[in-house]
Amino acid sequence: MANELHKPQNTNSYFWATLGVLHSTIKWLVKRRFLFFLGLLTSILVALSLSANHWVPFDPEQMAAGPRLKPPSSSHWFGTDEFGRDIFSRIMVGMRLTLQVGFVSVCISLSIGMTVGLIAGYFGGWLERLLMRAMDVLFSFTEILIALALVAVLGPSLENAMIAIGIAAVPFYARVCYGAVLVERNKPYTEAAISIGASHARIIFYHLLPNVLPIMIVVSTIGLSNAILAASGLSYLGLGAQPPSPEWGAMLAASKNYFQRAPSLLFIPGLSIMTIVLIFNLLGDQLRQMLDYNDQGKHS
Amino acid sequence: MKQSILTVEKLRIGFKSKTGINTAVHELSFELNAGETLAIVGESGSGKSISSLALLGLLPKSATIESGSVHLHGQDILKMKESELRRIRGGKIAMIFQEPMTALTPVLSIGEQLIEGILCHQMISKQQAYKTAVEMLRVARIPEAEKRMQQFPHQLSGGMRQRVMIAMALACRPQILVADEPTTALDVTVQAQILSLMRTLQQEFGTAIILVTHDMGVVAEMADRVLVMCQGRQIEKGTVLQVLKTPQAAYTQKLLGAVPVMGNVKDSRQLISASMSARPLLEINDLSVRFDIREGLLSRVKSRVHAVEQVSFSIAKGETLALVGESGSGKSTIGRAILNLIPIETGAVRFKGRDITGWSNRLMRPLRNDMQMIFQDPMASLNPRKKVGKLVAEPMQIHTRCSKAERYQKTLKLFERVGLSEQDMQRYPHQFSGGQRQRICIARALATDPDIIVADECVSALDVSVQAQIIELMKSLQDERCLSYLFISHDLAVVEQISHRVAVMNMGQIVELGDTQSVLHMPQHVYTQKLIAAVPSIDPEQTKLTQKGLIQEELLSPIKPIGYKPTTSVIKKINSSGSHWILDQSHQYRGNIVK
Repeated sequence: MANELHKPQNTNSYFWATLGVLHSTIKWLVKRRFLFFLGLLTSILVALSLSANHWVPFDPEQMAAGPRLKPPSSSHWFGTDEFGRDIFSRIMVGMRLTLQVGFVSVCISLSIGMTVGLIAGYFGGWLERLLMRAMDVLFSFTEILIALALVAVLGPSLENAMIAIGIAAVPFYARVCYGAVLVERNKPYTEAAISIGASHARIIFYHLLPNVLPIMIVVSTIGLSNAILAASGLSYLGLGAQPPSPEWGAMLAASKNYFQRAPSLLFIPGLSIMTIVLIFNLLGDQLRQMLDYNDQGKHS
Repeated sequence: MKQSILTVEKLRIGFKSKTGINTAVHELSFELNAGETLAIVGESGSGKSISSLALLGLLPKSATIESGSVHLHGQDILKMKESELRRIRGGKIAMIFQEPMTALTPVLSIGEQLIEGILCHQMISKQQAYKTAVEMLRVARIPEAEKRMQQFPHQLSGGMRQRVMIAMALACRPQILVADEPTTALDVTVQAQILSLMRTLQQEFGTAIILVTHDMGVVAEMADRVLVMCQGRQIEKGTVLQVLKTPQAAYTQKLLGAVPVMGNVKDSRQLISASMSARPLLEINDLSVRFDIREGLLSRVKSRVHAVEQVSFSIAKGETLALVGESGSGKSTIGRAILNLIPIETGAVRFKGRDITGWSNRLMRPLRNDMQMIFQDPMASLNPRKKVGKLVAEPMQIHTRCSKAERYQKTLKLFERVGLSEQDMQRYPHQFSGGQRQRICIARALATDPDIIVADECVSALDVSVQAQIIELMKSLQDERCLSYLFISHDLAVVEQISHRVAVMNMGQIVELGDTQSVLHMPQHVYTQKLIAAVPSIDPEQTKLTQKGLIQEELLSPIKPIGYKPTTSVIKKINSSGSHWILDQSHQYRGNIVK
């Protein structure tokens, strides 16, 4: 009988619990509406860019889709370039390249940098000295210089630009991760983990990693915009995406000769780069606020 | 007729939040007469600190004063402009903070900071200000005052820094001194010195003191009148005799009842398990731990800290051995060295008859389920990003092969055993109170059913009422599971409640070891006697701390040049069986005098 009495009560409490979760989720969304907005914007941009090939009004590489060097109009929203290609279509398709470059190169630098940082910070000793001094040597060159040198070796293409930018940014991620690990490693919970007999791998991946990850996520969101800028820079110099690829940096480079006749040709890729970089910077900032659990503790 | 200089009426302070204002202090009213000491007592979160900050207009931005008034000589402080307030702060009302290191600017010398304060409030020349500053340091009984003026805060000990703070606070002859937990961060012997200094200076200058504290011993020692606060409300008000002897409010009674008092433990704890003759669980022989100090360009080892020096003791199954001593005495170092968390210089550690001296982390790993540790700060020793249920289950995950469901059941049992519920398993460490967090740490330490738990100051950070609960829990767990504890603490009253035997540490050595009753009630070593004498009693009628020890004693440092060989320690037996012994004082190892 006790069981019979219990059942409906349980479903009832389950219902209220679900409602409670829903309520707190909505409250959270209202509190972080700017982050929510940025997240939504990013997902829309990602969705648009991934499907761009299917819905853009013109083929981005089709020449003479309209008259040459025209300012924005109803048929060509962003105007046309020196070959009569539709700039709106090119920008949309190019966005996929841009996001891809950012994402891939950040993944490269994050995975290498974090491994180096975790190992150096946790084990210390000669391993730390070896790894961190190597990072320091890389750090002493400008990022773009290393990327340039790597592209020169690998050959100019967008894929190689991604790799080059990814490797060039490794020291930065390694440093940030190393610093964070040092802080976390000296907290008593690490010692507590050692004293319950946890293995090195367990301490690094189960205890340290979740505490370092939020910082790394924030850093990589901002790093994303750096990578996008660097890739555009390389393409502008002719070392990244090659024509006729609709990469934004390459478009900027191509349009600089027609600047006076069709300024929109220059402004539109430039503004696109700026907007994307701004969105990722703001997103990183909002994420930092959200993931800072100390901050949360203070408010609640 | 006493003259009241400060009147607080119906003060209400709240914190702004999105949902409105959370009131932190409700209708607080009190008067302060010239030359008297008013103690505001309460547990953490009772609003006592925030009220004292309001008196100086130092509330944080998120706090607002909802209503009420604070009158100083008939002027309302709460309605004053910032410029007027600045004249009052330091000039009429001065403040001493809990942490003297953070309250002093690290980059300015003591002298500069003192002179700055004096020049702000008095129209005198710099030379005169310098003279006043030196004089104030002398008044605060700081030896070599002229030399101290050139020194920086980090060159002084905690007690010295607090003396400097007092000198600074009194430099402009304020009428009111607000002291927010002035001795909480200090050792008992230093606390005794600071308290008697404050009392002497109060008589010399006629300053009224508002003493904010959680420590009933300090209240009994210092206060004329007492105000008890709980959750922002004033619970009881009266003279120190009334409140401490015949408390009216139930909360005050509970608070006083929870205060551990030395000598209140009637019968000493009896060992439940086997006789002492059986092989001890843990044996420490001639243990020494040293830390290198590297200096210079090539960071060569120039000198070494002799943190632990030739320490020997043993712990039987089911026994609690307490290590007591002041900060820097090496008691925590011993705890870590036993668990091989730090390297051992010389000596041997035997656990269950096995020599585990200097075992690497890898070798120790299977043994760790038998030796667990509880840390001082439960918040910091729990990973903030893991659910506590996961954290408690973790040792089982490492050491035992059991299914997830089994583990869950065991974790649940542990949670229930330490007084937490099933829902609590899904929460994160920051969602608990300090006492609950320490319960979680205890549950985690118990997860693998260990033989010995090293408890490093595990109740020091908790309020007294919570402290008593945790001690009770630890005692009942010991009786149930025949656990042994190495209980590291600076608080003699707590130690008396839980331990079977006590080892008193000073300068890295055990100076006295014996069963709790004889060590705490018939101390033989000079240092133990000094330590026990410094513990404030909560009985206001008892003789107050003597005026002795006002001048800082020579500070000893355990830092020694390389190659220094300590003399072999000689033990003097107190009783025939040798279970109570002290270190022979003529042979005692001494540190160098800090210059």
